[in-house]
Amino acid sequence: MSIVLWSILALVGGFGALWFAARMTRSGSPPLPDDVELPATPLQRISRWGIGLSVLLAAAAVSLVLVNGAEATFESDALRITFTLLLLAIIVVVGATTIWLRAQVSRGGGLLDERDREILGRAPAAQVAGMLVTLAIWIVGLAEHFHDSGVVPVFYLYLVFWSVVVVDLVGLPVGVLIGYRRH
Amino acid sequence: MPKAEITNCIRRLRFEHGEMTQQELSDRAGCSRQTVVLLEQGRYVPSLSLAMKIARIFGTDVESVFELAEDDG
Repeated sequence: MSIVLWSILALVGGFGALWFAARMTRSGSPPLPDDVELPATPLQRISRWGIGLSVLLAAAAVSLVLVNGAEATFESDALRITFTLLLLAIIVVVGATTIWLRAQVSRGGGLLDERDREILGRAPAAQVAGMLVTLAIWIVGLAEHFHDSGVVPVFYLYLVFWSVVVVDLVGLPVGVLIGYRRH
Repeated sequence: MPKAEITNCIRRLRFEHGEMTQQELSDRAGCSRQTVVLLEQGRYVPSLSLAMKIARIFGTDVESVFELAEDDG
């Protein structure tokens, strides 16, 4: 199997693990009556925006590699910098939001209530599953593809790192949304 | 071991207090409207401090708002 397919599989697998965790943790309680409206909390809205922006930026970065090819992307300074900037933007979007939310928790700000704080505290559990699956698929893919040569091109290490970072960062807001489904 | 379930009469108390909206209650109690909705539906058991805040808003004690129902099943 082509290494590009393995890299797509790694990202899809990571997000698939997050999705599976979401399905498995759906609340066992009966659904709310139809006439009961459940308004989204600020934390839910922030998490949805964070996931949406991160997926868009990650899709743009993956498209760059798919269109130009992995080797060409990393040999061209312009493409490599664009790829890195797209992924750094995810760190800025999700990372800054996470730091701001943590500050809200520690300051006891009015944005989050006790339920939000509890959900935010449990959210990191989803990150571990996503990261492990992503890493496992990368390792199997690289080992299979480069088994004969015994040498893995260095830019694949770069891709492994960034895909794990993206799944880790996006795992937090996903964990938050999972938390709301459980309650 | 018997299962304990917390029931409440927040919905009735809101209407008895000038048809207070869920938003008004959530603003005064310092929680989200989603939390108030889930409380009224019996889907969320609040912390003691939130329960006391809600009771204080309605000018009553916690046990007049929340009730512990024990089920042997």
